[in-house]
Amino acid sequence: MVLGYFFTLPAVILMVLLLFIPMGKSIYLSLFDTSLTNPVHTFIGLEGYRELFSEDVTWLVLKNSFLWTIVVTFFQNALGLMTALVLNRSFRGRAFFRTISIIPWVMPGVVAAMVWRMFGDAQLGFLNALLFKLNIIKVPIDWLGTPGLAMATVILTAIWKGFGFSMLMYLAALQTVPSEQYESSCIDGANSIQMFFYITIPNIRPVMNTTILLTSIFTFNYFDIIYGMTGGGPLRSTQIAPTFIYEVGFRYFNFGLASRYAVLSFFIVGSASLIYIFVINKKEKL
Amino acid sequence: MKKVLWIIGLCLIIFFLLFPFFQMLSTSFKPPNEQFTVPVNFFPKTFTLINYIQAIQFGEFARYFINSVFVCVLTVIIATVIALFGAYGVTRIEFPGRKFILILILFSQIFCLAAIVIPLYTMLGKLNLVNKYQGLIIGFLTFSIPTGIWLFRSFIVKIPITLEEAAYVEGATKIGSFWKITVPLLKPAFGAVSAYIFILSWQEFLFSLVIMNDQKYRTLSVGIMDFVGQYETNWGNLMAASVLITLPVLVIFLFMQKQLISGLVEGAIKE
Repeated sequence: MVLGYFFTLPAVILMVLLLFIPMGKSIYLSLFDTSLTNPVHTFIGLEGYRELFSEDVTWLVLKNSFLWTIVVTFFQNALGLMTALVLNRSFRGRAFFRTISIIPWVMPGVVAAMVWRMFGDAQLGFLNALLFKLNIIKVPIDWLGTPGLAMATVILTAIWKGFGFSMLMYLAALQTVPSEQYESSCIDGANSIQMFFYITIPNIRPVMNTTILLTSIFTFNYFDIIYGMTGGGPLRSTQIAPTFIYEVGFRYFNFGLASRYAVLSFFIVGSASLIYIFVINKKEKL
Repeated sequence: MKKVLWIIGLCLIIFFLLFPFFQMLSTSFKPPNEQFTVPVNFFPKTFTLINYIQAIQFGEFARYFINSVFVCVLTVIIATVIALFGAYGVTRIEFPGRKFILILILFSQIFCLAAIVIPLYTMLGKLNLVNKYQGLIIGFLTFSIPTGIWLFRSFIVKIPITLEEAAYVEGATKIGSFWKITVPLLKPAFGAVSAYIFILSWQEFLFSLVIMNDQKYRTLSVGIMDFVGQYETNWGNLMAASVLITLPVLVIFLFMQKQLISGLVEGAIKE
């Protein structure tokens, strides 16, 4: 049916032009040496990748990326699930609380970054102010200026910003769990914890799998918060793949090197997703 | 006992959620002389709107706002139309290659935009579209169209195919049934898709940063960084600007909540 092509052609053309061709160009560009010391772009093939892996900064960025992705994904989902459980009972104002849980998610990432930048400021932030008032700390903590803490702070910001999405997914999933399962296990004498692990979790497993996959892909590629809060610093302690690609490409103008990191990122996300989907499908077949 | 735990849980979540907002709002209403008190005051002693006034008048803020609105609205219009047709074609029309296109679209969701921003930038540069509205809108289409198709699809599959079949029995063409039956039933979908694409575009940062480096065309998301000075930052203004930038998408979200949430949830669960 020609109609099918007619309907889908604009979308397909645009996506080929805007996603697949640029991706191809990235791969092509990654095979060249484009450093500023080299006036001509020379073809170096896979040698560039070999050099890439011998650089310390590559491993630092990869380590940061994995840490960032795993911790943010875990806590976004955990907090999202917890919030969904709390909101799963009917109570007055429930819709209101559901709505405010999602506000950080619709907020622009840069804005969230600005808010938390102030929130975590050593002198002006309410975080320190509160910890002071509660006598938990005596000296102001520089949340964003200290290499280890900075990563923790940006991670916290990302969790705050994104857990609303997970919450929505889990809330919908929780409502599909058949209540008879809870009732019959209650008769059998199960307590809440057992019910959670043996009824709730298995029932929401599919949604959990999807949500974890989506949030981790999105988190790995997430640029706004780290760029807005730390720019990758201090001392590259919060530098992750997307922000590093930007730095190499638009601050050092080394498009070839940036493309190598871009291809590497794409490869990581792509293969991790495929493996994940494969493992999930395998488990479901059992 | 369970009820107590539940209440504690709810309170902790609300606190975590609202405390940063609280600083955002409190700071935005504080006059300059209260910004740097030691110790920090949680509440402003005098409420003032001066930060909001200054934020609106600051530099090119108004221009950024216009740029953002223009780019986002156009992106929404173009992407929604293309996504509608694309989603319907992939979901309801049988043709060879349909499955392949569907997989292609789902695959696009995995794309790391940072990975293609460089070639996209060079491509737009060659076409002389950098620092032009068309350039940024094209950039926004990279993520708007796959997302739009995915979201429309979740609404289309819920429409019983029997309705369209009934139309054929009456003698309607495929396009006719699409136009007269499916599209009117997709009214909530239009709301959800346009709201979501608007929300995504409004906060988009990387492409805006790279493609529009001329201040004249800058968008709000990049423009807010103007408020952060190299040596000092006017936090009151910055927080007021933050509130102002969040308001439009917040309002849109509040209006479109129901459709948006159901569309997103269905779309993800169906995977």
